[in-house]
Amino acid sequence: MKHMILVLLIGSSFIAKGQDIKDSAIPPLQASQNQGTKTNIQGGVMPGFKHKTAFTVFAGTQGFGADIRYGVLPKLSLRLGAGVTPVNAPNAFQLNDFNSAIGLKVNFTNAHLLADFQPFHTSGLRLVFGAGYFIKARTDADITPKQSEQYGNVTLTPDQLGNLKISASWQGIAPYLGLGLFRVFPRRIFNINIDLGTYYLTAPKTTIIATGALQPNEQNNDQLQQNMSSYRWLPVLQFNFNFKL
Amino acid sequence: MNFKHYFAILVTFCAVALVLDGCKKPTDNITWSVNTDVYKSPILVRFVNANSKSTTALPTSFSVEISGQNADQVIMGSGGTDFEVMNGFLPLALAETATPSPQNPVVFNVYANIPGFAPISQTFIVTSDTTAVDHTLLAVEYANPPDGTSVVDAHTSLTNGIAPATTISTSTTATMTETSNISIADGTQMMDVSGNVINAGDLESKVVHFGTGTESSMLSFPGGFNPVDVSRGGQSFHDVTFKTGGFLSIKMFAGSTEVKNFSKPITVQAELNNNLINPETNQPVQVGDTIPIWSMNEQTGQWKYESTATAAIDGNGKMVVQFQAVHLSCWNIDWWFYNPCRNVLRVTVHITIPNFRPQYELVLVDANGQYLGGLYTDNTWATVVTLYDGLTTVIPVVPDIGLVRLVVYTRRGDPSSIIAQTALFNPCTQGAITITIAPPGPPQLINVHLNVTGKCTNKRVIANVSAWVFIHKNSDPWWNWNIIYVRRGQADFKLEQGVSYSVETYYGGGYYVTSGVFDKNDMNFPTEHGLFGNATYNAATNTVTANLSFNLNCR
Repeated sequence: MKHMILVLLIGSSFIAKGQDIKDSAIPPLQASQNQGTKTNIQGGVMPGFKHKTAFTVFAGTQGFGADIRYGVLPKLSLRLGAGVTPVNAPNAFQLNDFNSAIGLKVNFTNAHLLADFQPFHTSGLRLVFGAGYFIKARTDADITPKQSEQYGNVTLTPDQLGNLKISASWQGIAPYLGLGLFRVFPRRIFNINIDLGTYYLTAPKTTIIATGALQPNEQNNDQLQQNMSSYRWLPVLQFNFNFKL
Repeated sequence: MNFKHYFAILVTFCAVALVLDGCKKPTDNITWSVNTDVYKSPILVRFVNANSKSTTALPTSFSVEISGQNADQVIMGSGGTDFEVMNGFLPLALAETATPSPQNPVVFNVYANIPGFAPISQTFIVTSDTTAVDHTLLAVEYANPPDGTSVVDAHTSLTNGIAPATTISTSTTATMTETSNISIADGTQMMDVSGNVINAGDLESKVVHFGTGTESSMLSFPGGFNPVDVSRGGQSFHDVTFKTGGFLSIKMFAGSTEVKNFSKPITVQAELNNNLINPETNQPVQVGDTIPIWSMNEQTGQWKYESTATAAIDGNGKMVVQFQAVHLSCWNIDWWFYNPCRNVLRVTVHITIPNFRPQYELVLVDANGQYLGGLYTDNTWATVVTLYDGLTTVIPVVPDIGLVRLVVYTRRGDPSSIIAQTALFNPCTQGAITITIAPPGPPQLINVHLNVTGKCTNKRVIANVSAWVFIHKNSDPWWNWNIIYVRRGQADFKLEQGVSYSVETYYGGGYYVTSGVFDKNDMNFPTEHGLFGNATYNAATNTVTANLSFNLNCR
């Protein structure tokens, strides 16, 4: 069972290549000024500041998705997007107590609004905060015994044993806090940056639906719910592929 | 900040998140439960010494034979076909493939040859695949027969398996007023079940004569008074009711070989009880009255008509019948009624104290108090039942005897403990009758919710067993048990508060025992013989929840 959650947490990951770390530093303010951007401070915009936008596709522990990034201030940008995590992992874990075929499905779908705050001009380190709304956030394990089990002189066939469907749902709003590495917007057309953080999910609601001889295990749901009450941190290690707009 | 710093931050985040999430496994403290009630029609057969005053216990374990047309569908209640009785209890069930119904009943016979006891046989008819029934079989101990019986265990000589003129007689006792004589003609050859001559020099004869004057004798009637299958003239008859004039269990051994046949018929003469009523005349038996004679195949429970005897007066001035037998088994002097009453008798119990559920015996007797049958519940004759106010039950087969009455005894088979009775009525035409019981003050009762599980020793799995649980008030006589069927590991019932009980169950070849006082407090059960657990008391519901487990081998 623990592995089921680990699969959920880790999900699929992708490795991006080709990003030059040295390109990540934000250009000095003077450089922007030299490019002749707006200089009217009284109008609420810093001299030389340009509202940058980028389109991002990302992949990481919370799945994959896309964002639109918008530079609000030189040190602050927002991103609005959505991500999905569709993972099917047959036999990702085993129950020692039953020789079972186990189907594991992880299905997370979220819409999020995050802010990237970049406190240092010379560093690509960002503080990322915001929230996501998890439209779907559930994992389902379908456990079906594969062979007969014997209890004393009573032998139960797989059909007689039935099966267990164990689900957990974290649907709802989840705050996000993390760090970003490397610059938000590409200097030229494209760059890659990384997010490290975590969503704090709603307390999971678990269900156990059991059939056949396993039917009484539905009463284990209270214990399962209690055991999983601390399973609220969804760590994010995410690679963002940003395209300048 | 260089790459090392970034990497350190990444590792820290992942570690924190995993530690937070991994502090408790989702399956911690979860034990998987499995219902093991795959078998059908749980049937408990309980063997007890027919003489409730005897201190001789039945052997701790002994085997029984299951025979009959559907014997292949019978298994032990917890699986397997090792039909072993433990401490007198034999839990049976039907295999998953069995489909008993009133139209297609499952019929089988249980036969036990218990050392020191007369052979015992009972045919069962199962018409439901869910109803749990229990049935008590009374085994007659040769050394301590029940009231109303007499026993002889005699050794006589043979010459090469040939008997001289020999008479084996049973005597009268304080509770048995009738005698019997078995006469072997000179030159009779002893033969085995296959008709082969037995060459031996010693003949041991064990004869039990069951009179009609006491209930304990009647309760020991092999196969009961409603046999499933009766053969007469090559025809099979069902729905038969016997009204008995007495019966004899005769077993003989030539040397160590059981005698089953003779080269010449033996002559059996049995006296009749002075109070025996001829159901055809509703008058005491008169000289010239005729009574059919039957024999039973003990292994199959099949009764067969043999002859008809005529009542006469013997040298003691007693009414007697005489017949000849060419083989040995149970010989029965019975009037019989083939499907006598199409009408059922509906019995309603009224108890003057509400919520009092005594374990009394409700029986049907004739005008002279001769036992005819017990309360018919769940298609099984049960001699001791839990009664309650408003209990309504149907006796679907009633004897065609003009006048009977219902009586309630507080102690099984003890007419002196009578606590209620109805007026005499005709069971074929009565239709419905109410019997009112006014018991003495009931004891203080406490609700019990019982959970029974088999704990797998090698897995985190418990089996919610379906099994019989036997509960015995330690101050009660040995034969008085509360028999509870635990379905899917659960049962609810009432016990006397503050009283010590032993709790026992027989499952998967293991017999498990514990004991405890069911009172208004929590407690742990001592592990005496493998049954362990605890109990918690809920004052709001006045309920003790007892959780009992035994270890189970699982694979």
